[in-house]
Amino acid sequence: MPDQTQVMLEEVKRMAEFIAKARGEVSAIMTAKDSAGAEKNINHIATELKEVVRHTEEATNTIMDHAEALQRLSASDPKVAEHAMGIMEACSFQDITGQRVKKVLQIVDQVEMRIDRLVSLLGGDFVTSQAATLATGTERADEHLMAGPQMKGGGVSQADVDKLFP
Amino acid sequence: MAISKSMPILIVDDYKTMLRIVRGLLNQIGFSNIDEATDGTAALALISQKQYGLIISDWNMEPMSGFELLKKVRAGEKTRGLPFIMVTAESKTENVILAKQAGVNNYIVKPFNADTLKTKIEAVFGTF
Repeated sequence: MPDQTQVMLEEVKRMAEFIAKARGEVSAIMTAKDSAGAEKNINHIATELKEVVRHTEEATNTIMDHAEALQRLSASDPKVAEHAMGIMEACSFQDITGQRVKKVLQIVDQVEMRIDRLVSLLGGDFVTSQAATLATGTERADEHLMAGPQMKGGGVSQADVDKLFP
Repeated sequence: MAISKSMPILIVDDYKTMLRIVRGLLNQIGFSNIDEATDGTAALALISQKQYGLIISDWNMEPMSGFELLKKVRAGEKTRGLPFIMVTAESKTENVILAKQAGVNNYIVKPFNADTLKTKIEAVFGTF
């Protein structure tokens, strides 16, 4: 029968190795960079997604500038005005995609907060976490109702809504 | 309810792009007297200063949502009869029912087009 002290020492050694490995993996999630030295970690997701929203908003506004210019030039051809309006209607994608990205950002914030807690549990001195600065915004009274745009086939259609407003 | 193409309309949305789209659609339908607000609080400030004929509001805005705005409009002595159309990506049945219970006149699911907007305005005011 092995010596009890020896068994305990082996167990403690295994736990120490596990914690060291976990610290390394969490640190990689929090501080990873690509081969060019650019941030490629969880702290950077929010920044990248906000940039996606900013760029699509800029592009949408440029498209709408041109659609409105077409409308102004279309006095002699109502078909052109109709198509210009169609372009503007299609630009509402920016609102829908923006709301979807906002939902993803809230999930990223939650993941970051949980990782931050894990970092604290593991000692907290091996990584500089930014998660605490990325807390979610203030809660509204109807926050629990907000699901954002639904997946295809997931929400009610305009036809379904119309049945509720006879 | 009577409708006039010159009636003041307040559109409320936190996305400037959507405000621009809704304004463009309303222009196409024939309305031009349009004011804008980017959340419920800003909308209430405008409503207290001017008599609007119609409010077209998004739901998901901060700090005050379109749903909270609707409830405050319906609670106000001078504004409780003000026509209110919700235009939102929130397409869960329970949200539509809650908005209806709170007194919304109609509900449009984003994305939408000028025909849908015109149809819903006509559903509130009658054909124009």
